[in-house]
Amino acid sequence: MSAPNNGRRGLMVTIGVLCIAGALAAAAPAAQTPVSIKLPPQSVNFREAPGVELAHKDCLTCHSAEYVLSQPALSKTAWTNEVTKMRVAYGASIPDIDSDAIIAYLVAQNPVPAK
Amino acid sequence: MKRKHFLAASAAIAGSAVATPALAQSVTLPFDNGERALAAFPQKRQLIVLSSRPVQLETPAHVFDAGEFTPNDEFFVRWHLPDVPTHIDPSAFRVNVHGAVATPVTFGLDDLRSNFEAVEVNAVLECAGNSRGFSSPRVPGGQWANGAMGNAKWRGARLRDVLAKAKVGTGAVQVRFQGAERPALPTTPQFLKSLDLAVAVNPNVILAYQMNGSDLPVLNGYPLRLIVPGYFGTYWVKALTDIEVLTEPDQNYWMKTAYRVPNTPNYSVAPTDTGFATVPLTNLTVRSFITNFTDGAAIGAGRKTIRGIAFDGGTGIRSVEISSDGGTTWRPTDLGPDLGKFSFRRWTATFDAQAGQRYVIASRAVSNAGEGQVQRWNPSGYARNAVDNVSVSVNS
Repeated sequence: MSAPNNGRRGLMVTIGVLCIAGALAAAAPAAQTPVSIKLPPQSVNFREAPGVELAHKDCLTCHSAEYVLSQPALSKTAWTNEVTKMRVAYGASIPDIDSDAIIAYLVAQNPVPAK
Repeated sequence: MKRKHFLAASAAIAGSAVATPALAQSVTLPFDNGERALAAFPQKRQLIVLSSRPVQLETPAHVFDAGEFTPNDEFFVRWHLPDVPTHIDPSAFRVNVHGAVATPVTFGLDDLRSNFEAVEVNAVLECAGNSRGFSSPRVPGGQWANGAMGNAKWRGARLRDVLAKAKVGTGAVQVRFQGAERPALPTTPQFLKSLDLAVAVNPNVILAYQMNGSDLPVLNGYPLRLIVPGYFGTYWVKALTDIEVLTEPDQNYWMKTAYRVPNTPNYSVAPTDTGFATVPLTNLTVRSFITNFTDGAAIGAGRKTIRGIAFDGGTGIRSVEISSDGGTTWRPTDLGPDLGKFSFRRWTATFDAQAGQRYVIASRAVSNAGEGQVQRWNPSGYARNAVDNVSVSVNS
């Protein structure tokens, strides 16, 4: 059992407990104050191409643009499968009327043409 | 043009290059479309940004050369759903144990620290999609290089001791876990993962309230995380709040549809294959990495040390070999201290770098189960463990 890294006081307390209770020793006193973090805002934009407004409307609800921008060049079939997955598996509210245009946008924004 | 646009966006997320000249603003991972921003998220040093929502951050390769344990502030981050906990009151935090149990119980953090034996396990946490960006042909999904992994000393209470307080009922077959992350839409499946009961009661499975001797970072699941040594990270539910004992195998999306691999040797299929059966992905595959040389590096001539790490899904590392001729000949390396069968294991070797030569260095590990590193392909890019080549040229 290694010494918790909570500073000298915590270490001494733990050693004291270890002497009494052996393996049943409690860990060093942990902070009980609330912890808050602030996440940075989404600041990466989709690439400009026809239909980009649909990407903003239908994709950013659940994930940031990097998710799309970091994909390899994908075929129209692969992008169609992704859009279907978002609608069917993840319940994205992409209207039928938007689907074809979003797929066309995703193909057009590929980093290079798909092989 | 399109790539230029993206690079500009990368610089924007990380701040001004003029204001902080010492810090790189972006990095290029070694595959097509591998440009990524670097940014310091809360409680984290600069990591590689895969996505900001849900938060996904990759550990840079150099971190794995610094030691067997991955520092908390450099440990990778992968959430599944966009709304992750950002404000946690540890005194109000509770985890509920219910379902097929005699006595549903609720524990606070103090209960878990004070009323259960504290145990420690050194274990590698690796994302199922680690190294997906190297799949050939490429596959959709989170495009990680090799940094969706880390090794830590986890400390907490055994899950089986916690389950014993609730008294698991007859007919129980699985235990299901949920953390505090939530989807943006009510139509998106909640993130739920289940372990077979026999796995859940393994004494190595713990509810961890410490990581490397400190509280977990919020982005790694503070204040409590399920630790399943030897299993892929998808089961290591963060900010754990709910434990439900099930009498039927879990049919939820994250078990029945996601995180499954072909039920074939090495989970591998041809890219044209369809209609194959699938099984849930469970154990890590055996891997090794060279940590002190990067691909394409120029080095000085002379006797050089090659360092690296290796790990597997819970049997431990039997051997690591290296090649400096692109895999034609192999020779043994010296293994470092054994820190446990779930941990990173260091290894070292030497080779004589002749001036003006180019070497293709590679490492390959074998687990105590006799498993080695293999080439595989599956449509989700899971469980990659191919031997990687690192090419270095020696200055004249």
